[in-house]
Amino acid sequence: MFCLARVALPKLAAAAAAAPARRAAVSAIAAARVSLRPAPAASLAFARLFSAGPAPLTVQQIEDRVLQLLKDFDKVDPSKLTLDAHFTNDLGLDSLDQVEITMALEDEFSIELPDRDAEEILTPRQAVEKIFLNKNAM
Amino acid sequence: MPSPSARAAPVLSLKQFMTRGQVLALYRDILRCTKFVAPSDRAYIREWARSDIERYRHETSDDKIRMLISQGKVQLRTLENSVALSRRRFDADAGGDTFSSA
Repeated sequence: MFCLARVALPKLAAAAAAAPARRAAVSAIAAARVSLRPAPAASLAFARLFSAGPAPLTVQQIEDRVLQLLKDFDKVDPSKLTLDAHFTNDLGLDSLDQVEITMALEDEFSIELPDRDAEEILTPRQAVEKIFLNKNAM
Repeated sequence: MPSPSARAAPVLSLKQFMTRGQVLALYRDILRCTKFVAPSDRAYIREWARSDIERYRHETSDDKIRMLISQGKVQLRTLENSVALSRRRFDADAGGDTFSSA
């Protein structure tokens, strides 16, 4: 009987210990469930950070990078370079230069322009438009 | 100083315009292909392609131009094949034997 009690007591003690522990666990889970439902705005920002990729480029950023790329092109005279400077008429470039420029733009923004879009790019502003419309630009 | 109108390109017939488009498309394909060659060779190949096209800039014979374009296409295919081969070898070296099942 003594030994029975000795066996029983630990079980009872364990049960007694388990109960508050279980209660604590239940309330912890409830608390966790509540905390996992943050304010809608915060959760949207959180989700965007990991699923949406880098923020889309602004027009200003694209313009700056396009003009910088053209400035680095040695055949271009920087003093004549504006957003509306026509490659052939204003900057004195030829059609082969235009192909090289569109290729360099594709590399710079990590995109591929279909041929018919590429051959339409004759001013920096047109390049900016095509790049802005391309959702893969980065 | 030549006036802007004197510098302007002569008006092309439709056929000439289409042919010119083919040359530019060929040049674009070559440049695309060179994106995948080793950086040390890239500038050289691009220079070579550009100078080859420049050499016949003033060619007017339609037949000659078409022949040059098909020659250019053959050279482009050769370039593409050697790029594909070197890429496959690079992948095999980097990632182990491509044909092993393990």
